[in-house]
Amino acid sequence: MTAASARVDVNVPRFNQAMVAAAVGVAFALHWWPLVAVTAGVLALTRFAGPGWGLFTQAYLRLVRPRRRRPIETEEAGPPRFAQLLGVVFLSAASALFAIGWSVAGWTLALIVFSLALLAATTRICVGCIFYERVIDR
Amino acid sequence: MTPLVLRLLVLVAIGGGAWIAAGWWQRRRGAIRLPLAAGVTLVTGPGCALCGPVERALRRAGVQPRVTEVGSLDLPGPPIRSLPVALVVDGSGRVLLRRSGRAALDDVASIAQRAATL
Repeated sequence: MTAASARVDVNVPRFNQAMVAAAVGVAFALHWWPLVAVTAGVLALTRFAGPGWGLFTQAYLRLVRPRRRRPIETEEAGPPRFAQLLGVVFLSAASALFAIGWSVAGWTLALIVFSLALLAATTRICVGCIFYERVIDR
Repeated sequence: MTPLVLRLLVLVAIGGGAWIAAGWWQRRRGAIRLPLAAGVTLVTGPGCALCGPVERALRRAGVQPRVTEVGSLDLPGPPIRSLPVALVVDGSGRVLLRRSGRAALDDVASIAQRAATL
C-alpha cells in the first residue's frame, strides 16, 4: 500500500454500493434497463464531478450520517474510487448494449455489478478495491 | 410462475452465489498468510478507530508503514488484543518492537527511532 493521500468515511462507498445494488436489482426485477443507465450516470457524476454531485453520497451525508452516533472510520479513497470507476464502465457498457438491443449481454454486465456491489455493501469485501491494491497500487 | 418472481429468484441466486463464492475465497485466503516484511508494519482491522491517527503519526515521523489487515498476516508472539499494532521488523522477519492500541500512538517516536536503525 502506498502513502495515504485522501481518505473517505468507510460508510460512503458502502452506502453507494448498497444503492447501486438496489437500483440494478430493481431494474432487473422490473426489466426496465433505463434505470441501469441512470445508475451509471449517477456513478459517473460522482466519480468525475466529485462527491458533491453524487446523489447517493449526498443522501448518505445529509440523511444517514447525522443520525449515526459512532465515530467516523476512514479508509484510503483510492481503492473505492477505482471500484466506482469499474462500476461506471460496466454499467455504461451495459446501457450501450441495451440501447443496441443486446439485452442478455447488457443484463450479464449489470448483474455482475449487482453481485459485486451487494457483496461489498453487506460484507465489506470489495473486489474492485482488492484488484486495485494487488495489481494497480503495488 | 410470473416473470417478476423468476427475476427475483435469479437475483437471490446471484446474490447468494456471490456470498458463497466470497466465503470460499476468504477461507482460502485465510490459509495463505503473508510473512512479516522488514520495516514498520501497521496491523489494522475493521472498527479500528486509532488506525488512521497512528498511520498519520508514523508518516509525520518519517516512517512509511506497510499497512496490513490483521487476518492476512502471519504474526508470531502473543495474540492481538487491541488494534492497531505497530511492528518494527528486521531483515530476518524478527519483531524488534511491538506496540498495540494507544501505546502505538504514544510511542511513535520510539518506533521511528527503532526503524531508523534497521
